Amino acid sequence: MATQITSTTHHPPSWLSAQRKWRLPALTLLIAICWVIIWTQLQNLADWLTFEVIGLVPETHLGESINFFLYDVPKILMLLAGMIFLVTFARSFFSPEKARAALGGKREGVGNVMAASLGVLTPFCSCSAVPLFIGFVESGIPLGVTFSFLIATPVVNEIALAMLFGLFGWKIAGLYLVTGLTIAILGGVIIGRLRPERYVEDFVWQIQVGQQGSDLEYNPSLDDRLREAAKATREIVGKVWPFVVIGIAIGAAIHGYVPENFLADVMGQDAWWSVPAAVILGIPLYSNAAGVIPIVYALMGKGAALGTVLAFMMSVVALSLPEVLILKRVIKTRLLVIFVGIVAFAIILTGYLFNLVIR
Amino acid sequence: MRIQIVGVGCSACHQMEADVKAVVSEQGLEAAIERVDDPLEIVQMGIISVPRLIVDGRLMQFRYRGRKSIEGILLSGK
Repeated sequence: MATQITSTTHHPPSWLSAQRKWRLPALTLLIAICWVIIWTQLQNLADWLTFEVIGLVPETHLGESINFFLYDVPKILMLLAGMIFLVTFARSFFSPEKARAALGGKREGVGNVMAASLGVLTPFCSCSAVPLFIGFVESGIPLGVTFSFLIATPVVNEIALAMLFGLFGWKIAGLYLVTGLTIAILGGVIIGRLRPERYVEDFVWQIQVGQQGSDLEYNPSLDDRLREAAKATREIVGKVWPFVVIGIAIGAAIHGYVPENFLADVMGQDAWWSVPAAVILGIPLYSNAAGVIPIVYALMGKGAALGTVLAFMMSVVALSLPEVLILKRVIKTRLLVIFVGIVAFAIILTGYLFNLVIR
Repeated sequence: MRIQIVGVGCSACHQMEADVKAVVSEQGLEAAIERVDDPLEIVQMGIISVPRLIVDGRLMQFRYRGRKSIEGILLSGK
C-alpha cells in the first residue's frame, strides 16, 4: 500500500516544522548550485574522458567525434532538465482559468497582446483546446483575442525557447520569442477583422456555461510547485533522452567526417525555396520541441541556415494535424484553413527574417 | 462515492483514469467511476482545462500529477 492515513493529533514542535518547511526549497537550491558547477566543467570532463580515460588522440576524426558526443549529451540533457524545471515552476502560477479571468472584458488590441503573452505562460494541454475555446468565447472574449492565445501557445514553445537560449545565446532566443509573440498578436488581429463569428459552429453560441470550473482559488504550496516541477522534469527528460542521444550521435558521427558546409546548397541562406519547403515538410510531422532541437543543432553545424531550420522546427512543433483537427468540432473548415494559413505564412516570414538578419 | 473523470482522451486523461481505478481497488473504496469525455458537456460544467476530477458532484481543487495526487484527493474525505 502506497500511503498510510494517520491522524495528526500530535503536533511536532514549531522549530521542527519550520525546518521541514525549508527542506525542499533548500534541497532545490543545493541541486541548482551543483548543476552550475558541473555545467562549467563539462568541456574539461569531456576532454578528460576522451583523451585521458579512453585515450583517443586529439585532432583526429574519431577523437573529435567522441569528444563532441561526450560534451554535447550531458550539456543538452542538463540544459533541458534545468529549463523544464524552471518553466514548469513558473507556469504553476498560471492556468487557463486565470487567463480567462484576466482577458474578460479586454478589447481587441490590448487583449491580443495580453492573450499572446498569457498563451506563452499558461500550461495547457492541446486536448483542452475545445473546452477552452468555448469557455473563452462564452465569457465574451473576442474571437481574435482567443486566437491570439491559441496561436501563441504552440508557436512559442517554452522548451524550444530554453534550448535556443542555451545553444545559441539570448539574442536568438529573444528573436524567437518576439517573432512568435508578433505572429500570435497579428494573427489574432487579422482573424478578428475577418468577422470570424460566421465560421464558428452555431451550437457554440447556445451553450450555457456552468460556474463550477472557476477554481481560481486553487493555490498550491511552494513544496507542491517544486514537486510538480521535479515530476515534469523527470517525465519529459525520461521521454526524450533517447532522441537527444540519437540526435547528437548522428551529429557527432558526421562531426568529424562530413564537411561543415555540406548542407549549404540545400538548406543554406541562398536556397530561397528551402524555407517554405521546410514548413510544408514540418506540418505532417509532429514532435516535442525537445526531440527536434538536437536535429536542428546537427543540421546547423553542417551549413543549414538558422532561419530555415527554425522554420522547420516551428512548423513541426506548432502546426500539428491532430491538434488542428480537434478544433474542427467548434469552428468551420474555412476558419481552420485561415488559422493554419496565417500561422504557416508567419513561420515562413520568420524563416526569411532570420536568414536575412543572421549572416 | 461517485467519481467523474473529466477528460477528452489525451494521454494525461487516460493516465488519470487508470490511476483512479487503481487507487479505488487498492484501497477498497466503494465508488462508481464515470467518464465525462464530451467536450460540450465539459464546457457546460464550466470546466475549460482537463483532466479534472469531480467527486460526489464537487470539482476537486487539484491538478493531476500522478497517483499520489489522486490518493490525496480520494482518501482525504474518507
